[in-house]
Amino acid sequence: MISRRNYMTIVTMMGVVLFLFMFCGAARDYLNDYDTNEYVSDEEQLTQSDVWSADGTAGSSGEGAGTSEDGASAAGDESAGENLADKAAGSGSDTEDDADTAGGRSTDCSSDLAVYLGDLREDALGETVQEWCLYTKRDLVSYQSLSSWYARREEAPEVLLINSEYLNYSTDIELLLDLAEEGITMIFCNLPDVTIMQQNEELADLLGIRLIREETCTLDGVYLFDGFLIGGRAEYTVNSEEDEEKQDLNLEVPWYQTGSRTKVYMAGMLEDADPETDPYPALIWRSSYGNSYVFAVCGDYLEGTAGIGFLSALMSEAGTYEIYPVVNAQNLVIVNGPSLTSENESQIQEVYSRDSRKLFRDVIFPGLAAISQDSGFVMTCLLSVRTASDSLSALYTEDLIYYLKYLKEQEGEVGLSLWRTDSASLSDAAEQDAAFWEEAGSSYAYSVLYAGDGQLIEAASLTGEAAVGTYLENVRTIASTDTEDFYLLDYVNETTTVQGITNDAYTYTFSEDLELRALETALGYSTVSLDLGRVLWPEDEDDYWENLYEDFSSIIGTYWKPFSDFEFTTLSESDERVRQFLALDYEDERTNDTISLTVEGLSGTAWFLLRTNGEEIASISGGSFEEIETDIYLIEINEQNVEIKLEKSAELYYY
Amino acid sequence: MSMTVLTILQFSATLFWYLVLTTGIPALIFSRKVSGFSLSVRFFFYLLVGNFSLMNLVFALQLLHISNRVTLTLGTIVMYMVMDRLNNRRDWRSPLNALVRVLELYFDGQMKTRTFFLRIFRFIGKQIRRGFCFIGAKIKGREMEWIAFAAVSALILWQYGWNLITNYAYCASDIVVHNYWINSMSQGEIFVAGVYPFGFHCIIYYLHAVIGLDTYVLLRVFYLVQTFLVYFSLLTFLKICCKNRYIPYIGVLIYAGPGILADATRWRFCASLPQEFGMVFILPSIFFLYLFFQKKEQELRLSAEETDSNAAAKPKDSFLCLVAFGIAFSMTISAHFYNTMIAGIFCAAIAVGYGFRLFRKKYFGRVMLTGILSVFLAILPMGIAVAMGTPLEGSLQWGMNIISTGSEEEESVTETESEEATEAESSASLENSRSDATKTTSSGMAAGAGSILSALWERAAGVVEVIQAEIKYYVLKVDYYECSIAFLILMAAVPALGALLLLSRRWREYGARMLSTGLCLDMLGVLLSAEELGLPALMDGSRCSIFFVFLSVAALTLLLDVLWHFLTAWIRNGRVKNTALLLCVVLASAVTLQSGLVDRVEVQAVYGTNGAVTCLTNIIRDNKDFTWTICSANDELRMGEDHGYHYEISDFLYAMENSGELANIIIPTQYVYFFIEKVPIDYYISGYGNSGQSISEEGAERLLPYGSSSVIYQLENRWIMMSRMYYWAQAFMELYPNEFQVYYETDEFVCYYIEQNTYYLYNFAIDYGYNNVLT
Repeated sequence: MISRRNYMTIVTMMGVVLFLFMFCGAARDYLNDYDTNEYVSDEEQLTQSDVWSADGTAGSSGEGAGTSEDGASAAGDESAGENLADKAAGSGSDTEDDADTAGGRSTDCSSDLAVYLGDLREDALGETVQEWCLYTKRDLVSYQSLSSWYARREEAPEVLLINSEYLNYSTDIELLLDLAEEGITMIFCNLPDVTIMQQNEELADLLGIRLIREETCTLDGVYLFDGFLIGGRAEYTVNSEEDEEKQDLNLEVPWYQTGSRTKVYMAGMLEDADPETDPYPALIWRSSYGNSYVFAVCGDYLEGTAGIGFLSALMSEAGTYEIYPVVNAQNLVIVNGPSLTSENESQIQEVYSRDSRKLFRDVIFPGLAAISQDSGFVMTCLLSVRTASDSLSALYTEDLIYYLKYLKEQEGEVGLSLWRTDSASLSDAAEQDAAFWEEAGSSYAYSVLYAGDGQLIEAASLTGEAAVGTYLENVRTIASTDTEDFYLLDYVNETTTVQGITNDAYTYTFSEDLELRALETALGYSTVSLDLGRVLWPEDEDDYWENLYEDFSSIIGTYWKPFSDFEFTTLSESDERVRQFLALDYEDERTNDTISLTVEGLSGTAWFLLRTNGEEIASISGGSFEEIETDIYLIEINEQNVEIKLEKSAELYYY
Repeated sequence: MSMTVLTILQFSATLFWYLVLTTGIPALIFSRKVSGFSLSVRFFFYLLVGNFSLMNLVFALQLLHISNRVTLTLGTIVMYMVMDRLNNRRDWRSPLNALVRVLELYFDGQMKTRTFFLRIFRFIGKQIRRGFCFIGAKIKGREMEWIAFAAVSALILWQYGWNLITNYAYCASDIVVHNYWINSMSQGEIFVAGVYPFGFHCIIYYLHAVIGLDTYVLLRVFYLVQTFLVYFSLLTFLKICCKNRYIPYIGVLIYAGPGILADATRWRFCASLPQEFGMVFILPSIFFLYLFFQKKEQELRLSAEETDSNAAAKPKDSFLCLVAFGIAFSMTISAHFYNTMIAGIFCAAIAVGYGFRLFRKKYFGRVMLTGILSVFLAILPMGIAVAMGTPLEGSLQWGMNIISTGSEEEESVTETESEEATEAESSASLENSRSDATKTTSSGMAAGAGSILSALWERAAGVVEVIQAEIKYYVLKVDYYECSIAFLILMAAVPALGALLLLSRRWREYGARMLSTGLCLDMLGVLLSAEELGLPALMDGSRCSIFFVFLSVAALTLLLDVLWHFLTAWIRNGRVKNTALLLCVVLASAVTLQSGLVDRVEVQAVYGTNGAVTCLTNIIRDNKDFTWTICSANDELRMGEDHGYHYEISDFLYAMENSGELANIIIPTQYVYFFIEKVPIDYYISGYGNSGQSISEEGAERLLPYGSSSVIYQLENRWIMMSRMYYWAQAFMELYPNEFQVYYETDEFVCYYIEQNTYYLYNFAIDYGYNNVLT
């Protein structure tokens, strides 16, 4: 028989335990300020007007399609090019017929000038060069003839970027040799045909090619060497069946063997070759010739977004140090889901034995939360009210509240997606969803909008001034896979930025790995998207969640590890950083062991990447730093003037 | 951490482990057996047993090709346990069971961690207390002697230790060869260059394999350990022979102190060389033989007097002395044949000095059997190797040749080049006096037709003159040539006095030792002058001078001992006599120090820069094994052999000569280091390096020297090589300013390094402006 006293004690204890558990849950629910977006600040944001430009005035970022009313494409037409040329500081090319300029650092120092031999408007390399110069704040002058620039040049450029298609081999080789003697860094963004190389020994010598072993050889893989791109070394070879799907690199290359004076950064791999006796085919290398470095890229690695990373990496090999701004943002964006209604019921029921609402709530999101916590990524979930225009199911406001609360607890962010499986236009989708949002009365600031392939311009038209008074009025940034008309990081209108999606969470090929490394090197930025539309509307078994989850979890958990020193952010956080990145300008100067960095247009915090060669940071004023790899430092700056003192790394332990 | 601190720590570790393994453990086993001897004699008994055991353990395992850390450690444990079992009948099961019981309790959870460690610490504390008590007991009553010992040790440390912390590189040209031979033992290949006395190599290899210290480190620091032991063996020898307690310290001070002796008589003590290691065993073999005669005589007397059966059952000290003599003599052979030669000469002298006992039945058979056994034991491993088809090493063939023909063949000498270079330094006048003395000897011999007596006298005078000239030449510094007469007096006085004392029954033992020592000194005098006297030069003069001085000091000390004894015979009080002697020692030391006759021993040459050793030490520490290559002039090839690769500077430059960047120089390791001497060292004691000649364009412009072996790194050739390398490095740095970096630099030395991608190696061949590229 239990005594009364013991009975009371037990009851009290049970009551306390119950209260404590209930209290935690109740408090969490009560204190969840789910209807506010903590990542959107009320402070005035930087806009397109604040973007740094070549002449020091704002608003000419990238000459993107959305920037001019007549829809001029990148680099504009001839007259647009000339106008830009007029504005370029210190370019000295305003009288040139074939000259074009874009971007550039607002400094009179001619050594910040990049000269591109090629066509900025027509070729893919030109676009890459243009984008790279914009991000690294370099002046850019473009000529289609080396001799014309050579004859009129006033001061030596920092770098001469060469599209070899524009070289005149009968006259330009001499000029290139002269430039090499002068000490001008040259980057051959691509190489001429191997037959041309065979005929031009001087060119081969300039490039450090000792022997053209074979005109074409088939590589077994590609080897990226350590210390070039962030992320360390990588071997792109097929060692398993899975690798076969990943191999999408161009493996047909000429076999150039480099000689003395060269340093190779990327090489092809051949099973039978012995690197000690038979050097692998070089793909990206540097040749020391005369007083200059001549970089050569064999293949199309500089075309596309990855090119900016390669260019940054090459430039860091050209001097004792290289410092340039980066975004410092790693984003995970979940797009096209969840929907706030039950859709594709029969198929979902058949596959998962539950409806889509329960699938998202009970299966997908717990899994996403686990991956998010393991990998460090912060989710930005761009939910869809509905994913089919003709969906007749009821819309659930409580689902909206549930996801807002859930993501709040996960420290994530909620944005919007107007994607429809039936390819309805974004305008129609926006109009269709408007009623729901009015009814839901959510005061959450949905600042992120998703735009799929070919939808960016339309998405841009729904934001900014056009969106005032609608539920899209808070949208400040668009996450998009569409990179046709804009740069990866750009403004689509005065107030709205675009943040390019760099990776698909379900697939990962060798070229994507290379591109990721390159982007991290150039920008410290990546956005990986996870499309839940595929789960909701599966086409085959590959689209089943268990298969996608397996792919996604292994990709996210593996390939982003080397970049974990960059911050994991939501898209709104990242947006702020992108705005700052595009707005700032900087100058750097080294005196003995000290690098003085002067930053203009700083309105908060900005990040730079410092790459040294065998030196380490001893101290810094005006910011802080973190070593992310050997000789690579991420610098966070809060002040306009920053001083970085370097010292020789690795003092001897025994002295 | 500075290299100085590191070197001191390395030396301390080497000394500690060497003494623990060769003396400490045998002490635990044999302490009861040799309790009848003085502490210093016991120390040498343990040392002999320890070294002998470890040497033969290594020999056995090497010949079986199963030598490694595990087998050596296990072999050591088993060997010492067997010895202990045989000597002490100690039951190891009891302490082992206790240990197992404690461990059982701990791992079963019945004993808490705190209690477990408390027990361990308590046990250790108890042992330490016992150790201190033992030391305290030994010091008590002999404080002044211990102070004298400490002072002598400090003096040796000061004289020879300075070199340890100022010159990190090898101080003898042939150490690198020994380094190579020891490295080969790590690969299971003993006698890699032919059969050679490998005792020294066995000990160094053993320390390397068991303790884990690198061979090059041991070869850098071990010299100080062996030098200590050489001095200590002299001290012990004198303590056994002398009647006065403090006179032996005077002897050691004399050996350590006077600056009148030629550098060649001492500089080899600054290098870890087999001969100097073998010197540790010369005097122990002698004093144990002395002790044998003494103990045996006592035992015979006792056995004649006593009938007590218990007394007969006690272990006989004479037997232990004979065993120790055999071991020591054996190890002189194992370490270096020259030591055996000296020990053999001493034994011959003892045969005369102790002739009154040796040729008695009770002594002769035992001594001869011991001698034969010791030689057999020492030669056995070498004999096995020869039987297995390994040829003799070059220097042994040379030695054999000398013994058989009596003439020296220069081309077969591998180890005496440095000493020959020393000879070249001697003054021309001395050469003249030497040749004059030789003529005198010859004429003395020719004049024998006149009168036999006068001919003999003249001949003897001629011999003495030659010996005096050789003493001047090899033993004394130029400023102290007049002291040569003192050596002659010593050579005459000590055996004469010894013979005189032999006549006295009371002094017979002392006289025999003195006569033996004096006669040995005389024979060494003849050996020193053998070439000039027309006798077979069994040993080159510069080496012989080391032994000559060593035994001169012993003889002089015995002389001083006798003189002091007779001069103070009127003092009855022993304490007063000792105090007076001690005061004399202090006074003599003060005067000697004041007069500047005591100085640090200067090495003849240093075969590498401090920078090179500093870099090598850091490279080994910083990198994984075999991920790096050092491109340098020879020595680092062997020093870093256990950890990385080596590329010869000569090969490097030859490959580029005339072809520039068309050549192919690939070094397939991740890291490549280039050692360049800005002031090329003096590799073969020529005085060239000390001229301060530094690398220059003039040097680089000279024709690249070609030749065999190390000739290309000597004299001007080294200057040219280093100049070429320096300008290659400058040119290469222009091409790779970010990649090719300075690793370490001083005024004399610079080390560059470059990190390579092993999938795409750099071609180091370039046109650096001096390699006469054919266009």
